[in-house]
Amino acid sequence: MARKWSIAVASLLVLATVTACGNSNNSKDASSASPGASPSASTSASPSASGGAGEPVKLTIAWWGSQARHDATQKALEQYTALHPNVTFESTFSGWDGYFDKLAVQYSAGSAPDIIQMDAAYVNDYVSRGLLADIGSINTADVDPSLMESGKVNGVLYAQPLGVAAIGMVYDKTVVDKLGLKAPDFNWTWDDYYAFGQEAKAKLGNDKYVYADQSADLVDYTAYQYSMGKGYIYDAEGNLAIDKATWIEYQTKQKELRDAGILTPPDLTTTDKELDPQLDNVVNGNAIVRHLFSNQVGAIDALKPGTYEYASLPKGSEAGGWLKPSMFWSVNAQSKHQEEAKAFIDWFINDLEAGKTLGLTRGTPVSGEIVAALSPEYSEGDKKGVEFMNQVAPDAQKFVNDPVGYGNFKNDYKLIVEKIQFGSSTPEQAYEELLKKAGEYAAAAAAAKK
Amino acid sequence: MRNPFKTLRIDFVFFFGFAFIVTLLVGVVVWISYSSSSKEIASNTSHYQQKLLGELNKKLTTSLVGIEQSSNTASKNFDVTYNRFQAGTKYDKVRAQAEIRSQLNNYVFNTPILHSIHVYSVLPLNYSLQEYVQFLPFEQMKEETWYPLIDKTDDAWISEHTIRTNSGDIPVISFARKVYNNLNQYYALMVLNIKVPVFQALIETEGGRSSVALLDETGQLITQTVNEAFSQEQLDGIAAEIERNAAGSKRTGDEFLVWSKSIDSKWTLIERTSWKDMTASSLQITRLFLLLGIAAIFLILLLGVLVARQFMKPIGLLLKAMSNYSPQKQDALPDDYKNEFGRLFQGYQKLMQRIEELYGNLEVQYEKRREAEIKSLQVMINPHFLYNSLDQVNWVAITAGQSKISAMLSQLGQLFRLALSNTGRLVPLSEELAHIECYLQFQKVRWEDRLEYRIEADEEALRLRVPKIILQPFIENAFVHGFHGRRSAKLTVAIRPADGHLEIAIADDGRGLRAAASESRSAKGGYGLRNVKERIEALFGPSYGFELVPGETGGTRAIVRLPIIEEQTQEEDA
Repeated sequence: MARKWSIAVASLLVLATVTACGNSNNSKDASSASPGASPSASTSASPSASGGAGEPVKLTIAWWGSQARHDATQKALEQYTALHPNVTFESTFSGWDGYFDKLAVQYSAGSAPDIIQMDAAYVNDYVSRGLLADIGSINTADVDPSLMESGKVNGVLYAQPLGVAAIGMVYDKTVVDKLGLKAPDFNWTWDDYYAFGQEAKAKLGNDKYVYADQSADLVDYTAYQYSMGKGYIYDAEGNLAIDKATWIEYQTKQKELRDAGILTPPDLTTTDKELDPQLDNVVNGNAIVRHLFSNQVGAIDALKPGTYEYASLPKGSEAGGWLKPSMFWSVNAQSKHQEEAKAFIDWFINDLEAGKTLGLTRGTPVSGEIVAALSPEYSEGDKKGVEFMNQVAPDAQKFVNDPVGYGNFKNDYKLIVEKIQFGSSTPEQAYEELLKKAGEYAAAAAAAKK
Repeated sequence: MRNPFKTLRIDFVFFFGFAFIVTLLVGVVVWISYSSSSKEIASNTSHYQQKLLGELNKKLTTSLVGIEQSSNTASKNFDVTYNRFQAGTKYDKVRAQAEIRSQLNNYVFNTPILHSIHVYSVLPLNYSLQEYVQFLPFEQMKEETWYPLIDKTDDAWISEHTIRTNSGDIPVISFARKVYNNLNQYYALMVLNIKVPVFQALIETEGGRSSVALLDETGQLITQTVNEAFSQEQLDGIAAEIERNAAGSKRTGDEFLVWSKSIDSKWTLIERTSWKDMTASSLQITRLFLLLGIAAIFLILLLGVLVARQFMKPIGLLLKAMSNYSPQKQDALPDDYKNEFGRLFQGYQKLMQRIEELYGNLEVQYEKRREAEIKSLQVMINPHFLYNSLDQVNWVAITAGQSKISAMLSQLGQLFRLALSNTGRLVPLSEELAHIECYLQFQKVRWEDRLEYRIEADEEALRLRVPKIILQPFIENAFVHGFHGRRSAKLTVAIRPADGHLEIAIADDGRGLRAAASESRSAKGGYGLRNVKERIEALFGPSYGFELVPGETGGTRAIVRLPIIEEQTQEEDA
């Protein structure tokens, strides 16, 4: 099922891009789909209509993201309030770090927001605990059905995908050009990666580094295992499937790079904060390359316009990158304003004006119509982001939501790998620890399933 | 000052007195109603606001004490974790800081009013707008504007200041707490930030018409609800009063301040309400009263004017009648007044009638007196010429040896002398008697022994005054009419005072009244007697005069009645 839609997303993207290029066939397809869509649109619009005339409603809403996303989203909320004066918002937004910690605390305190930005890693966990509401009534006629699958659990929609993003890499083009290096591209291999590292380090000197050390991020290893042809890190049954040899090989290699000063040293690594003007090691100039999602292109470009170029994750025997629904809107099952929340999400994904305001801050919009309408107005950053995704899309690996119970696994993974970074542990020791931790997760997940 | 009731015009006093009293009355009523109702409102408002502020204070204290307590727990946990940080490896240090962040994150997540926590310490700097917990250099706190507040104490509330966040610069109110180690050295400062609107929501009163300020125990203004700002002077102004009374109220100008300081907490809440808003209803009632009052004043004044006019009208008529009075022309006064005014009019008219009568009498009297005077002057036609001429005739008679004529002439001359000697109207009775004696002596020369006469008068009566030549006409009358054709004649003059007047009786034994009348005695002698009668009446009024009655033994008896006039009166008269 998951496999099917990831292909479908790729085709959707191609489709959208082609549409942007002016092929009229696809837009005809889109419009031929709309008559079927309009009845459902009118039914789904009814709660918003009744809400519009109703008593004042204050919706609480939370999301994580970069400053660019905060600004665009707040603007969109203002637009919505202008259209529906009885609906106001109280928004909470932060970076990724701590976002789900806070949400967990809020849920246990019974004060979680009505509308929650959800990540693929947590969808299954939250649904299994009954924390998310069924939002199947939202009009998704313009969204690729296979993409919609990523927000469903057992066929029920709990999380509305908001955009599609590809994982790849960003590099500081100005530095690369200055040093006269061959820039990474969308076809580079792990060998190119190592070679680039050594070459760049040689020219950079002692206190500058080539790669931001992201070895503690499970995403990086996921890509590595994919590229080595070892498949996804979870198997079909939802069990962890990290290949021991591959993992040790990866971490050993990373350690060598770290020791060589190609990766940022642990003290810089721990203070690294993705897309923070001061704390992002690439943005602040400590390093020149890091991994990035295509929906973050606009944000990083906003920090230093024109500075950055993009590449795919290095390839091995296969490509390492994948496409994923960048994030979701979910409605809190404890919320008293679920209808209003759903009406808002409906507007958020289907309204053209909302689409214009939000741009690509949450990845390429899910509505084909909005993509078609927006594409002629793409900014330079947007175009790069779209191109980035198009480059990754052809040989993208499949993406699967984290299995039930594994939502927080990546945090523990990070702690274990950080030990290697600080030299407190070897890759082999770390693997043992990882297995042990995975065993705990598996046992908890099995208990939850019963 | 002179009594206005005696000096000013009545209608003026009436109108303004009335106006003054009514205005005073209305003013007093309005003022009392306004002052009592606004006093009532003030005391009610003060009472309920104090209660409300007390409740608010409790609620606030609960929230803030929660913050203070959790910050205390956080500082202890911080210290424990920090010790591990110092002792451990590089990795341990990273883990320790991550743990501190995670602990503090949980404080923020669990305390909805907390926005973020800033930690000033030697821990590696980490300030990201996307985070809830920020690590700042220890030394940097000394540059913060609020540093003096925490410098000398372990913990303090910091009034509104600005921090940077992913929503831009926002104002916050913070609680700062120093972190001490086992050696009692302080090496870190935790600052717990609360967004100002969230904080203000804690002290916002229902309705939100008034503004509320929050002071800490040192009187420092922590925050205030957004309406109009409290000025520092204002707060200083009531600081002393707050010191005296934990709860109270005060009004200055348009501002009504109510404060409440909780005994078991350090917070003071001050609520300010616009006096104008508060007393709007009372003012409205007062305004209504004032309007009614003014209407009443107008009505009453109008009524006053009407009543005053009605009262003043008869007085005016009377005044006009009085000022226009002349005997020829009289304004008629209305006769439909039956009250005091009616009586006043009647009285005035009676008075006028009497005055007119008096006028008439005076005219008659005056006329009479004038005539009498003319007659008396006619009587006295140049007596001196007669007297001198008589003297010359007397000498001729003496020379011719006519002793009888001479004697008569000398008597006649004496008669004239007496008549001319005194020009006053009144003469002593003795002189008058001397005058008739002369006349009688004159007749004696002719009548010789056939005439017998007697004059009876008291010694006292001789001094009384009588009009001049008042008896001679009676005596002459007796000789001319009564003794005419008689052989002998007898005449008695008796003078005696009787019943408060002087009575002079002249009796003769002549022919009597009736006989004399038939011979038109009145026609001849009438002239002299009428003169006497008129003179007496002119001098003394009609109650005096004389009458002629028949004598008891025949003859005629004339009784003259005169007032008793003493010598001095006569002198005064002269």
